[in-house]
Amino acid sequence: MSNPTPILAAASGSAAEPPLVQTRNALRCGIRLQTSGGSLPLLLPADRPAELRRGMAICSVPNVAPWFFGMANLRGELVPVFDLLGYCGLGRTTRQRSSELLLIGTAASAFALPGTGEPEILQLSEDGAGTHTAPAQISEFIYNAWKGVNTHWYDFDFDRWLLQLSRGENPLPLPFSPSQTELSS
Amino acid sequence: MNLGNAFRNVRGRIQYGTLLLSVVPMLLVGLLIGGLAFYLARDSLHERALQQVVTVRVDKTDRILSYFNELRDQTLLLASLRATVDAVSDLSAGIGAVSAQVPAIQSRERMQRFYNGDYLQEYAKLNAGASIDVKPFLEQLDDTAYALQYQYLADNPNPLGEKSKLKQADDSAYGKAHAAYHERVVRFVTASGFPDVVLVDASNGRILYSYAKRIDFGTSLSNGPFAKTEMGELFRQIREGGKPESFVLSPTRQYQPNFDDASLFIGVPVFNENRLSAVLITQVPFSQVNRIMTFDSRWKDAGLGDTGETYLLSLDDTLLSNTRSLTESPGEHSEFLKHIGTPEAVIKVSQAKNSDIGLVRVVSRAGEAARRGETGAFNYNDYRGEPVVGAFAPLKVLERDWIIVAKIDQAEAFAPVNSLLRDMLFAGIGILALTLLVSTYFSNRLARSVNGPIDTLQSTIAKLSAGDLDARTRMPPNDELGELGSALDNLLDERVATLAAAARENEQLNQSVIEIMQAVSRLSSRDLTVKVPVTTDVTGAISDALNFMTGQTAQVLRNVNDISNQVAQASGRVRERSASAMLVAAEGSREIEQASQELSDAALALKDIAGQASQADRAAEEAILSTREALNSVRETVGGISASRDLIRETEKRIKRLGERSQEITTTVNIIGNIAERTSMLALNTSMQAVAAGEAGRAYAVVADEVKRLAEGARGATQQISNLVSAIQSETIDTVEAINRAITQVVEISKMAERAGEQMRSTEEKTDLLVNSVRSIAETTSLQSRASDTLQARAQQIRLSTRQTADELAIQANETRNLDGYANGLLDSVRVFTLPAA
Repeated sequence: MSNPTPILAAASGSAAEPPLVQTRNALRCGIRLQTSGGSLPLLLPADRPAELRRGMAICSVPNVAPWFFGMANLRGELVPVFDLLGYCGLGRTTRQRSSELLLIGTAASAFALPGTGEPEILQLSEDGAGTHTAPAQISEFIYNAWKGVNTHWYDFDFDRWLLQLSRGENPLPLPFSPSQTELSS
Repeated sequence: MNLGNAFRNVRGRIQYGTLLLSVVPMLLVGLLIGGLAFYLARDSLHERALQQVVTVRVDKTDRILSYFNELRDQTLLLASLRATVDAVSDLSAGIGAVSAQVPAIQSRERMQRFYNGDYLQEYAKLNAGASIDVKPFLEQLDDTAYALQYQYLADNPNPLGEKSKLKQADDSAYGKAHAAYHERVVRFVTASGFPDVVLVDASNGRILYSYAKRIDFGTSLSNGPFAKTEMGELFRQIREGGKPESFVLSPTRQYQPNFDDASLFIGVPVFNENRLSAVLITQVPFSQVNRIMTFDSRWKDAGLGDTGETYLLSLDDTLLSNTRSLTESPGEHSEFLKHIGTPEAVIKVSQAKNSDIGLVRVVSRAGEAARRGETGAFNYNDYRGEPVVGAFAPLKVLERDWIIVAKIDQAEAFAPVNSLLRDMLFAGIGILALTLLVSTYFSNRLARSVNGPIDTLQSTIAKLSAGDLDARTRMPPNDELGELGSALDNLLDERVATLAAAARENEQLNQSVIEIMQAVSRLSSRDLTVKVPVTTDVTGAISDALNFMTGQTAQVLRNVNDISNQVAQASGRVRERSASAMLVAAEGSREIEQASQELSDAALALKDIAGQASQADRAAEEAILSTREALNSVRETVGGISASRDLIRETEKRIKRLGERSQEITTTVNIIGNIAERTSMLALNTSMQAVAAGEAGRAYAVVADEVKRLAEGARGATQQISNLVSAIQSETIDTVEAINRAITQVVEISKMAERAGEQMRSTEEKTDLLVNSVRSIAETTSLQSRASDTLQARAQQIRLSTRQTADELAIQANETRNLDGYANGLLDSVRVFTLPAA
């Protein structure tokens, strides 16, 4: 099993710098997370491959936070599965032993989100939108917003979020602790 | 009273005729004389008015000519004085040094103040607020003129208009010479009334001396600011052609140094030992000219009444003396100026200056005629448009051509004529009224003397017309009308006696006629007992004939009455017999009718039975045939049902096999669905990979999207197939169950058909028996029906015969009744006559 080092900020290693703003009319992948108050449209990282897998077995880890569902086996790589909604307090995803997972990233930097449904391929509109409409719980991770059909799509800074997870700035510590070298790389 | 009605009777004709005969000639004579007097008086007054205005014009012409000659002589006298000649020498000698004695700065300021202050204020006052630019004047003043005007105008303490009070400005040679000459000129002006006296140096045109001290003082009339004025032109004319005792009268023009007042100048040369040393110019006082022309505003005293006036005109119709309206009513005068089209600015200036001279142009026929050189007087409309009587003439004043006009309004000139006409009218009306009164009295008396007897005759005839035969005129035979009345009375007496005799005869004849008419009236009411009295007059024969005719008629009617009674009695007996025969015939007819009806009913019943028996026979045969056909059908049905049962069983087996095949399809479809699901997932992941690849993966994303769409289509189709297969399986199971139920029912039906076939065979046999019985009944009933028809035909024949007999009896009874009616009618006709006893 390789070292689970899923948190790799976009090469710079500095979480303070947000990802580059995606140019307009570019193709993006988006997911709709079903929160307790409706759906939360989020854009997946533009520079990182994603994959949807069904029937993935999730191996639970004892004594961890409820939003850490466990580890999944992706073609020989162990991938952590995080409940983003549960972490941010926007809802809770039902935990199942075998479920549909959205895998983001590759190899050791990959992580998975459960209950995202099928991602949508989007073309960003000409007009941007304000980030103030994003829910307050995730506003610190939102760095951009785009107008969609009857909704706003938010660019979510997954790197920063993962960095925050790795630093333990969360209710419970993560089951793994990325090295400083990995963070800086 | 209507005059037309008045002439419809004799009295009216006499009364109004005599009245008209007396008034109309007098009225005509009065009108003729009055009209003649009016026109003679009008002509006389017109002539007098013309003479008056001509006299005034001639008088004014003389006075104007005389006045201007006097002005010319006075000017020539002043010019010829040694003092003037010396003054020219002294003034021209001293004038060159004047400028040196005047402080430059002080004089400049003082002159500016004078021109822009005193002069312009006075100019504005006399020109309705208008202003001029004095700067060019100042700039054209040379040093000498500047110095002189400073000393005698600007620095002169006397107000404008009284600058002549300064006798000497300083002790210079010029000042002394000015003082010496000024004393003489003051005396001269006081005596002659000239507003200004000017001495102009003949060598350079400079005004050496000016009595009034205007802004032309000291300037040169050759090249100074006022060289192009009328005064400059006058100077040049004298200098170029001046001879001793010669003179020139300038045209009347507005002169700017005189505040643009109309000015007229007389120029004469001043000779010093046969050398023209200077030109003396005097300004004509228009006030004096006005005083002459306006009679010093006392037109009435001069005999010109309220509208007469005289005035002078230049050849361009510009007034050279004021009009009467300006003096007497300035307000109306302004309106008049507007009326004749005078510009508004000129009117204002005229009001400010209180003068028409040189400003206002008046056009009239008189002016035009005088301009052509004509002298005369006639009626015309003057410049106001009012009709006037005017006299006009050209006027040569000091060799300058003017026009003089004297006029008076026609309304005023002819006022005595109007007064005369009014007086004549009043007198005529009074005389006419008096004549009318006297004539009315006498004509009334005359009409009464003729009309009294006529009224008596008229009323007598009216009474006679009303039926009063005792009416008489009873007029004394004093005159023709009296004799006419007496004759009428005698005639009436004779005629009344004749009429009374004729009336008595008519009365008797009327009585006889009335009696005949009464008898005829009773005859017309069918009373043949009447007897008309037979008189001795012409009606006696008529009465006798009438009585004979009545007797004969009564006899004939009595005979008719007897015969009618006999006919009526015979008719009654015949009627009674006919009635009893008819009763018997009717009873027989009823009996036959009843028998015939009963036979008919019986025949119908038999026919009905026969028909029903035939129908039953046919129905029974059809029933047998139907039963046989039904039996065959049942047999065929039983066979068909057996075949169907076998077919249904085969179908059931096939459907079961179809259900098994559909299970295999479901398995295959699930495999396809799984593949589609995986393809869809693969396409989605490929799309996400393409998105992550950025712009390079855009084309790949499109392909992946298409693949995903295909996979989703396949998955949808698979799902549809699966659903269809499920539906087929469900339907197959239901079909198998239905077929099983159908087989059971077919077996049941087959059994029931076999039972029905047996029952039909039994029915066929029973029906054969029934058909034979019905056929026998039908034949018997048919025989009875034919017999009944024969019997019914005979009964019908008897009934027709009985009915014919009854009809004949009814006709006979009817005829008998008619005969009885005729007999009674005849009796009734005769009975209306009242017949004498037989």
